[in-house]
Amino acid sequence: MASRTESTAPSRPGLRRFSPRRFAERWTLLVAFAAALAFFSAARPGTFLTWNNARAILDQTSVLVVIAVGITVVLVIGEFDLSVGFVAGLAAAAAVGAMAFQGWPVWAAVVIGLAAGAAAGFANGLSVAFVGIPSFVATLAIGSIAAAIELAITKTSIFEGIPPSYLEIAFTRVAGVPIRAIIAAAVVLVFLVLLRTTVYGRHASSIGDNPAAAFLTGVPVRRVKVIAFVLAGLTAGLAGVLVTASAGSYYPNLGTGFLLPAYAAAFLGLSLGSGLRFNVLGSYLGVLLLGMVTTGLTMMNQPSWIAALVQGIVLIAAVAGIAIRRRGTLGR
Amino acid sequence: MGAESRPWLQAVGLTKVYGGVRALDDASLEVRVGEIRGLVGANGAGKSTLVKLLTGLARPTSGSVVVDGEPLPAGRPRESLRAGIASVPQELTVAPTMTVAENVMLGHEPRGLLGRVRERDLRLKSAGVLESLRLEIPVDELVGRLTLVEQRLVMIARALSLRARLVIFDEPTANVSPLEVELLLRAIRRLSERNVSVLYVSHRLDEVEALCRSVTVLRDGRIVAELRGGASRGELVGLLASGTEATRRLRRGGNGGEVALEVRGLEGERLRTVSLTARRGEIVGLAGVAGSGARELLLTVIGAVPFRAGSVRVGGRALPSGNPVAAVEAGVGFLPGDRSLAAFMRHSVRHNVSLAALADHLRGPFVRRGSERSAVNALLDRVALHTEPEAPISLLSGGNQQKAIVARWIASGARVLLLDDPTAGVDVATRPEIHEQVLGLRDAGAAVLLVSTDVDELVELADRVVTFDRGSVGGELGAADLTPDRLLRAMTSTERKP
Repeated sequence: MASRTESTAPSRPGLRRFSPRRFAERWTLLVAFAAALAFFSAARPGTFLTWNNARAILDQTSVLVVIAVGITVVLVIGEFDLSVGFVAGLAAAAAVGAMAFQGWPVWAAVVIGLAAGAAAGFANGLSVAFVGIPSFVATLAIGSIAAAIELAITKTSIFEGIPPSYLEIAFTRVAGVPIRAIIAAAVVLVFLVLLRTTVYGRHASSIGDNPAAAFLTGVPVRRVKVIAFVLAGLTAGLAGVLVTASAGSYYPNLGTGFLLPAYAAAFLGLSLGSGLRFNVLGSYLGVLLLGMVTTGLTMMNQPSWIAALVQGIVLIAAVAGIAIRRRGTLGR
Repeated sequence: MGAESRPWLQAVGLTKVYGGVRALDDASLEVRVGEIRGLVGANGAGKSTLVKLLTGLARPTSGSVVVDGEPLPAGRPRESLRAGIASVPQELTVAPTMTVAENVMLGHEPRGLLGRVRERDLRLKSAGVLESLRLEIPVDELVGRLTLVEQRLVMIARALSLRARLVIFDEPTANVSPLEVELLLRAIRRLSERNVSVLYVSHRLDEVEALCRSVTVLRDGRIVAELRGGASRGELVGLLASGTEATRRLRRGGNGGEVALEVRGLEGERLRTVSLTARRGEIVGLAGVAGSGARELLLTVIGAVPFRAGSVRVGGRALPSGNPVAAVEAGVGFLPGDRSLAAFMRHSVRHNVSLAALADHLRGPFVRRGSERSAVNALLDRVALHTEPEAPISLLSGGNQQKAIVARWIASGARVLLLDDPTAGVDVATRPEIHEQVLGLRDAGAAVLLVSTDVDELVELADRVVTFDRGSVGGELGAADLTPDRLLRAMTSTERKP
């Protein structure tokens, strides 16, 4: 094989010389990341670029990372999941309710939280893949139902008897690193391996690229779609558990704020690499970038609306860059 | 018919070059008032290019369209429409959730104060247009509820209401039953009576014979004949087929392997009791015009379209209806000419090639990349595709993309290959290479079903050809009878069965 590669290399497409423009396109996200890091380090020397601050950012963004990675799988198959915030709330209510009302042990509460998330994801998957409802609508409807069940569970809204060990899920540190950040990184790793190296990952990205061709090539489209939604539900469930563990209790609407930044991060992540494909690593870096910007602006005593503004601008810029790149490739 | 002698529209030396290929070469023709002109030619002969130039959807490389002595601005659909050139395309462009009246008057509704649509006028005017064509279609019905033919009739009425002087029909009788064909032809004759000229593009030569008083024959982008005062089917077949005498069968297969595919009494939306077998080591051509059922059979076997009754067996195993996963597992592979149904443009060549054969490279749920890479490299060598496996497939030419899809089905070990116009959009140089691959797969023991709108391709490749007509098997041509002439004759008939 080696000799063949050498003999025909010059005529092969795809092996092209280095171009700064292509490099910049490919690594936009990393460049933005480095730029933000440099900017805040210079603006707040001695406080921004510290281990404490890095640890705080990793900890604060961990829940968002988990949700963003989950929706990335759904984006990879070319669908949307708008229910993740509500599903996180449902899972939180189920987990905390199990402990407070039923006196269940912590592990069982965590399992029930994850199961609630997976069940909601399964419902999403069935509606989209088997009933054929557009995912936008289906996941909004299932999200609404999840919110209703959440309210039904938590109507008394007094939660007592949550074992202190539940809080340890959020506050333990391993070698100085908050365990939530470790859990988030582990989720990133698992999903990265899943999408990059398994048949499932190959099938999922083929569906996202060309659903009709995937169907005609014998890819089990429906099964792959259902699994993607279950995975998103599962991560939303995990997010619900992590939020309640760090709060030490349940509070209403705890998940709804995650939806927009999670999608913002995933779209930022789209610009990582050459393929313009949603990817787990990109979503992870996207969340970290958003977290860094928010923290940095707070440290510079900017009002919180500035952070929202900057996030919006960053997102528009990233997506505009992608749109321009797509336009460039159309002519080929 | 005195008015017929006056040409009002002239195409003068129309030439269109696409990427070095002359799709249309110096085509000139005249259209007279009220004339019904047929336009025939094999696929790729330049019919649709000519239509696009007339309607302004494409800009000619040279030449022009002259209306009443004035050249039309090139490549401006609105100008063409204003000059009175309308078309009823194959793909309908009606608004299904609007009424017949609204569709007929769409875009030129009678307006009142502040742009308000005057509903009463709208209904009256559209009723008048339908009446003048003697069409009995209720103006308040939603177009989506009408039959396919009625929808086309609405498009004809719409063209008339736009004061069209030339209406172009592109395969208007595809998917249309014989009874309804008559309705359509009658409406077209009424257009002519109202001094509207008609350009009738069709593969169905007996319709052309029945309808058209003049016929233009295109071959390889050139006008090779202009027939006045009518044309017989036999005459047309001769003109279409001549020049393809050089077509010869490439290599015959040995007939008589075991049965690989058995279709029994298949009933579907577009299929009526279709039975057919294909043996290992043979290429069975399926011939028929659009909507005849040939392509529909492929889509049903691969599972893209469900069937109601009957059975499909691959290697003796019955396939469930509408299930491509089961079909591919059983050893079926689908190779369409339309790459948007097969290629994953944002993926590498390697991913594209190995997608249907990932099971060969597994360790647990993980794809072993080394094993996959070497298999893909070997396959690329086999189909003579010299490219970097990691490059996105979108960087390859259409022909090379097609080679990669061929490699995909070699990789999956497909025993039954379904080819749907496999060289459509493939460059002339790569076409024989694809053919060679297909023959190679046949010789290696695959059963191949080949649907092609290209008669030459069928004659070159097929060991026998089954013809389709309106959803059922019409007949079969054995190797001895397989000439372009006879195949065209069999394909273009619309025999009315009692």
